[in-house]
Amino acid sequence: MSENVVFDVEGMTCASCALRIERVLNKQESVASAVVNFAGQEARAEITNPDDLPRVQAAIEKLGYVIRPLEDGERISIVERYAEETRRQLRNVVGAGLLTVPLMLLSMLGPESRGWGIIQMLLTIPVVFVFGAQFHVIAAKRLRGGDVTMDTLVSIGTLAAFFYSLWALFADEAVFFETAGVIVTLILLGRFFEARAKGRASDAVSALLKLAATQARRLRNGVEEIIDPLELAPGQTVVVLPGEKVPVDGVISAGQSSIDEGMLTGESKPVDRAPGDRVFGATVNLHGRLEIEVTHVGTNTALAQIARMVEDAQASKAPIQKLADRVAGVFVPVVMLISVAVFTGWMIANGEVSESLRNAVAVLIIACPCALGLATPTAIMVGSGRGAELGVLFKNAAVFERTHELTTVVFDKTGTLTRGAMTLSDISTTEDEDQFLQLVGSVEAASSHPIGKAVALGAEEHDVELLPVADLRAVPGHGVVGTVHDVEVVVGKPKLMADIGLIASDAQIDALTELEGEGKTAFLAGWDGEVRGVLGVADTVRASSASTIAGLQAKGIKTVMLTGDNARTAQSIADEIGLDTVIADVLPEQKAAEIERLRSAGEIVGFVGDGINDAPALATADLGIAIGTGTDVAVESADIVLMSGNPALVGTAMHVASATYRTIRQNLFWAFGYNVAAIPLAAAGLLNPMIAAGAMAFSSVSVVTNSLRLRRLS
Amino acid sequence: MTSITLSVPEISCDHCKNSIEGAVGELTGVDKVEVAIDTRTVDVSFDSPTDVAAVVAAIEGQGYEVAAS
Repeated sequence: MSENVVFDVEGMTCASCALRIERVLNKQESVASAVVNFAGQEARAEITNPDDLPRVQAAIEKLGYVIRPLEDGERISIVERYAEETRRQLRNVVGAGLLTVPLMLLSMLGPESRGWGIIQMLLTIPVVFVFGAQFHVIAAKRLRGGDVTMDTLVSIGTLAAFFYSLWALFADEAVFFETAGVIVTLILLGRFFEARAKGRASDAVSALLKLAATQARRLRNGVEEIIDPLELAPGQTVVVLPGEKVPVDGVISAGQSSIDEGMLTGESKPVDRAPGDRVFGATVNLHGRLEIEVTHVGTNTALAQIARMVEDAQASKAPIQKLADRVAGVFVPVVMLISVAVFTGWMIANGEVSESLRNAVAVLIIACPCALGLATPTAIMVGSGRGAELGVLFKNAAVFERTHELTTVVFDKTGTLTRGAMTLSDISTTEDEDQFLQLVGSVEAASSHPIGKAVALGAEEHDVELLPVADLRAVPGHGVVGTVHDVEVVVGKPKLMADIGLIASDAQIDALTELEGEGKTAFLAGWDGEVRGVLGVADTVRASSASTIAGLQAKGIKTVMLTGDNARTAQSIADEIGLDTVIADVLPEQKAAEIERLRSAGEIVGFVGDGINDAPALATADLGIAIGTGTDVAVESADIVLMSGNPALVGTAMHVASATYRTIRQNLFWAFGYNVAAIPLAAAGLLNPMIAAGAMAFSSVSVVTNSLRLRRLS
Repeated sequence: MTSITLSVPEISCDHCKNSIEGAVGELTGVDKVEVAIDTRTVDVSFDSPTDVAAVVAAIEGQGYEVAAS
């Protein structure tokens, strides 16, 4: 019997760790399938033979990770994880602070005697070796791998101060236990800020998860029972009364209502839903009783997927952070050499061990690139959290850098610049109009294309009854062919007519050209060897399209529209909106190639698509921006997801990304500036270790504060 | 003594470096193994009884994929 097991995984440091664990898990004989979530630090596996569990665990532990099956309901969310880390660092900083305050008072005001010195030492030991133990542990771990980090620097700095004082105590020289204590306390304070900033940035995730319904009415054998939505399973039926939240994702099986989907899509207008329509958990049923067949529960719901995307973005590392890490890796050994040189220099100059060591320690401490480690993560977490609030989801951290570099933004016309909801505006036919519409409308109703929907809706408005269609065949980009009452009806572009052998008159071609000149999408329809009518559908331009384009152009970004429409229709819309370039007559499968062509011309291309057939283009572009509810498969191919179809969100995304990127650079400057400027001071003996520690903590605080400014971005 | 350079595109951090160097270094006959994180490659020098297949198997046992070259 197979069993689903959720594991807590410790020790994953990057996304490729998750990939490795997933691959090794899937290789195990008793594992049917496994998925590892890096952000959530967990793995889910379907185990065919539960007795084999210890062997599976051993295989992962051999890779160097700690893996432990979780009991039911024990799942620790990333939010709680941050909260726990914050509490742990708070305990550390408070504990260290309570000992460090009397330590400082004693060292400044207390009498100078060996007895009082010993009391200071006793106060310092727990601070350095208990509350500050994490620095030494991490430093030692990294050192084994040949790695030198800022923990190494803190560890060496505090240990140097402590052991120097220990020696000084019995040599009757000045002790500086308080230096070690203050350094540990202030750096712990920085760690606490970091943990709290992480927790705060993940508020966006907890806010999303709080939208979920807390109860569901399950309908079983005609009886309703109120249960926890987590107990629901796909296939069951739930009842949602007016004013209630839809508990999970599903399909309406009975009833009609308007539903407020604003929490998922950002669209304030309620949408009408009827039997057969999909509904999503956390949306609100405004009126009318609905019966819903459950399709997705728990972590598979649209809401959970959106939350997971936010988490993933917060956990992934930007290349610029790796740069910061690399810089730190070089910085630390250089600083150590400087410290040795300073010690040697002072020994040669005046030969006093106490002063030489004091200045060498000052160099070690002031150089600690602590704020460097905070610079990127805090900015990215706050930036992506703010983005989510504004309706923009950044799927990974690298996006912030790439967005900043864009030179061209390509829009797919339908559904992004225009509403995509087209209406039938013109019909001219040689047949009886209702009969013509009946045949054409029936075929178009059977196709899922937006133009088809417009024609079908137009036919319904003419009170024409639609007929069943046989042998439906869609020719993407060209049209559709179907058989109605043994008549093969062809609807589409002139080329399709010619291919199938339907002859169009000059008057019909003129009518087509005229409609296109008006910016409408025009096409022909016919059967039995002849084109029998011309139809036009019009799309309406979204209100914010023109201002979005103008905003991008003001930033020096080229704007391009990509569309399957013909050049005249496309140009008419482009003129209305003010686009730089139009690429018309593009078939869906050519979109990715057009993007590639722009890229090879040296442009850094962002592509905005509505995610229906745009997945390849979204993945090809340097930056794929999908418009969708977060449930579409194509959304997976995008880097940024806009929560509604409002093109102004493209501008918002650019704005948030460039502000975040600017903040990262400012942060790096702050972190470096303090350290580099203070090294010569420390070397010259103008800095004591306590001031050094204060300055360093101040740089951490200014970096975090600078990042938090992103929360006010609008 | 044979020296080869294998491309492992998924190498991304020190953790990866340590795991691969550990696993390959354990093989009998391997003289030197070095992972370069920048270029995402593994340089290995070895003698019999180790062969290329054994090195690739050791890397794959750690959950990485060796790119065809």
